[in-house]
Amino acid sequence: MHSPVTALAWEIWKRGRRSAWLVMICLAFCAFINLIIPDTNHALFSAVFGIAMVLSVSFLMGLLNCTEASPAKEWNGFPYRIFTLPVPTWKLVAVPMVLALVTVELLYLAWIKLVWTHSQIDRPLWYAIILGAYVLYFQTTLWSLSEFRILRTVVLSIGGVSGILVAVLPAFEKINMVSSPWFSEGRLIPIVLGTLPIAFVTAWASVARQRHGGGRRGNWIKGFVEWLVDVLPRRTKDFKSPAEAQFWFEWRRAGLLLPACVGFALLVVISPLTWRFRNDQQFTVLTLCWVVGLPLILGFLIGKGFAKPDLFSTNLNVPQFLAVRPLAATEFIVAKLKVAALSIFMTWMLVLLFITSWLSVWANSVELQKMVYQFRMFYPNSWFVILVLSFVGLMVLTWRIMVNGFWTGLSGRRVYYFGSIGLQVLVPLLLLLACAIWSDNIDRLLQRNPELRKSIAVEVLGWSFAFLVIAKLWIAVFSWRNIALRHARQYLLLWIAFTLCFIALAILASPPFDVYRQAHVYLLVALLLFPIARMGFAASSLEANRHG
Amino acid sequence: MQIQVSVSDGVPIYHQIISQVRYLIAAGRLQPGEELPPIRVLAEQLTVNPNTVARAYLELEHAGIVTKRHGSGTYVSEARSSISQREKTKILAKRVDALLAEARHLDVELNEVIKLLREREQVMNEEATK
Amino acid sequence: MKFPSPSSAEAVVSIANLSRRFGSKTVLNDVSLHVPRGGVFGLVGENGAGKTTLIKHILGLLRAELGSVRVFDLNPVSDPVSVLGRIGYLSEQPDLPGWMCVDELLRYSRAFYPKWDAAYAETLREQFGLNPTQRLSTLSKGQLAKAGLLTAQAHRPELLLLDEPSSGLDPLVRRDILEAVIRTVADEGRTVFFSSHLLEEIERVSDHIAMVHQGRIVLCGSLDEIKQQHRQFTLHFETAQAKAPIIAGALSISGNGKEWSVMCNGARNQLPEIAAGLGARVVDDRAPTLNEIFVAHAGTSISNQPS
Repeated sequence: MHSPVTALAWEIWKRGRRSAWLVMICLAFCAFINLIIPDTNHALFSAVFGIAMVLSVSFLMGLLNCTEASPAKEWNGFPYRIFTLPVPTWKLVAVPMVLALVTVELLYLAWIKLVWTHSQIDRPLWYAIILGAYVLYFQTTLWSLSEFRILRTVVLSIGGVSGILVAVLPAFEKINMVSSPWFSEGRLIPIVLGTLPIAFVTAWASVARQRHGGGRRGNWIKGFVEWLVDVLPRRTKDFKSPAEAQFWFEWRRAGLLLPACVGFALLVVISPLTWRFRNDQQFTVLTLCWVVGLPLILGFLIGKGFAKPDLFSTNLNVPQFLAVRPLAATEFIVAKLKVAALSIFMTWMLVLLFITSWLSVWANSVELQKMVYQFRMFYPNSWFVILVLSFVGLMVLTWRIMVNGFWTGLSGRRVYYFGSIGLQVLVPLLLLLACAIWSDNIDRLLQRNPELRKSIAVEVLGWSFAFLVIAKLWIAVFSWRNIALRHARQYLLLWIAFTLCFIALAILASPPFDVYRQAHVYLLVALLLFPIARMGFAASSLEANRHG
Repeated sequence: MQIQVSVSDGVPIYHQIISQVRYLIAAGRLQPGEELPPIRVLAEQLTVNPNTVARAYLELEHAGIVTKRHGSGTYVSEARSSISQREKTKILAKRVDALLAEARHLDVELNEVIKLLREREQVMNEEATK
Repeated sequence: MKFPSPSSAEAVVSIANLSRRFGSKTVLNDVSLHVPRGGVFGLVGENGAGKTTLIKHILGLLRAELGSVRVFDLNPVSDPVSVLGRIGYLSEQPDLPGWMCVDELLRYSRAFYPKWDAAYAETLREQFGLNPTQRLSTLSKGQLAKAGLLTAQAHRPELLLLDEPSSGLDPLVRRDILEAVIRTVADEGRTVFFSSHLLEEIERVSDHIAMVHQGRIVLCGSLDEIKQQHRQFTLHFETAQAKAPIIAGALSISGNGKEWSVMCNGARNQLPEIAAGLGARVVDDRAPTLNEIFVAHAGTSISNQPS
């Protein structure tokens, strides 16, 4: 090592070299496939390549994030120990940023040159720039907001989603409806490039401030937040039981996270948009779908953190403080489930409040009212009950998304946890991409013989759902055998109550002229909705984690 | 009652307590009939195991230096030591042996040791009369 | 006089033939010990000897792969609630959640222990000088240790388990910890299990000690017995020795030239003869400190200093 820059770069490389090798192997594999397949089949494989590329780039970004956690002070930001090195701050910030930029661009270039050799990607320059900007913004956010971890998670998730939206903006240039001269590559590229130095300067300023002890402004914000938390009514009564105390602990830790994220998104992102487009009919329907989907998406993301013993760290071991509590593993799980339920309830109430106020006050709901009218015609007697039950179903679905992953995260094994995340992200992505790539084929197939296709689809779905229901019940019996009878009884009651609700919904919602006999598919879906099978494993995996 | 113990002396802690209590009594800083601190309190003050303090008090009681009144604590004995002359000689003989062995190792003559004994007695008398 | 000999019925903690490996490294190798009720049990050992692993087995944070661990005659892994409810635990780095403040921590902990004494907790809190509305993340290391000690003590546990609690702390906090130990054991029937490598502390307060070296127990017994068994001799040789003399039955030999220190474990009577046989005489004969015994067992047995 002859210079500080090389030393810093070497450290980053050493830390991530295993993941880097993984990425390169993936790239090599795809390049090899690209070489051997005949020319005509490239379109087919481009879907696979696309996914592999997106995954490898995200993987690389994940390993280039260069932060270190200090659990005592609950800090997760620029590695503090590097501050004592005799290197000026701008170099300390520039080295990881430049390294990340160069690596990502090289990877992208390698993908373009080795795999996408038949120029299936249009606008390659735009994507290169977006990727670079992504990496820089990612690192800047991580370092600047290291004291406000909740805010950072929110900003990262929103930023990630909006980044994807921005990335596909040029595609809309040709579509006449939402076109605008601002969507052209020629204008967007300089804009994005112009914001990059801003990112660098922001990162530099925040890291410099952190190096020299925080600065007044940061402390003021943090002090304000703490003052707010202190001033809010805090519990002064004693806890009546250990279960109550544990519920309080989990709630303080993570309870308000989902409502806060959703509330923030609604207030800061969706409300201005609804005001801007308040005279647009189609927009109302689209936004309604997004608003309803928002808790589900955020619930998925936050649920991944919820499934860990300690929400805010990537360490999957049970923290010693909790492991030494004289509390059975099942009680821990029950506390988490209750917190999740309350949190989701609050979130959906918030969403309901927003929807009712928005739709009644300033939305253009002509299109929506037409749809509602059709809906009421279809189900003249039971439309209100169906609405209410669907709302309950959405809440249960969000709850399911949040708590189903408990047995992976609480088990303490990184393979289970990250593997399950990988699968859950990979499979839908693959399906989506497959549909997108082969949309023409699917369209043609459906057009040929719609009724036949539909009935076969219903048959297939019916059988697979029946199989899933049977599997679910068998696994539930197996996984719940070790749990105390009292808890099992309570949960079973819950399961029965909600499943009956959904069966009622399925019966009411099935179309009156059931040509394809879809009713049994709906019923099977109703049986599948409330989680029971994997929940039984949660307690035993937490025990295994706690007892080493 | 101000006493110090140290573990790096090589002398067991209970022994140090016993000898210091004896010194305090001999120097008049502990009067006959005065109460010694309870075992628990002394153990906390010295940060040693209460068993050690209990053992020290027990040996002091066996030697007749202190008496334990049931339920109300440990007190310095009023009466003189009630041990027989033979017992006393035996106890002192052990101490003298240790002293003589030490003197021999250090190559100090017997006359010097006797002179030292007289000097130290004088110092103790002076302290008692203060 | 209380010097109980432990039978397994009386023992608070019974460990029998416990072994544990992490990967290829054997951390505990056939460890057996009994902690008798109502005393202070000190566990000594160098860093990495396996003390923390042993304590984690007692807490049920590690499952016994080979051998058995019984605490209060219960298995801490299968019955964590009963066992942990009677144990107060303080570790080297108390893993207290930084977002809580002191009175929230006390209220939270209180819910888990039915025997929590609120008045006693309040007395301790004032004595330790902890402000109830202060966040735990703003406390210094010593104050954090005191907060942890408070939560461990306030429910008057049957077993107070301390895992190197004093490391890195100033003498005032160390004194508080030792006072807590003494107060606990002064109450009838309560036990303290104390692991430390500050041997001076262990020597002051322990009734029994065990010494762990490379995963094995090399010493176990009452402190008095151990100290009586070991003896430190100084030998004076007529001629300067170039390297350490080989003395059978010696635990460790160190020194240079004409004067050599020998630590013996139980062979004190034979030593003068052996020494005479080698051309030396015994000039000093004293009881060693625990520190010296520890070093003799744990360090290299023959150490040579260049003359």
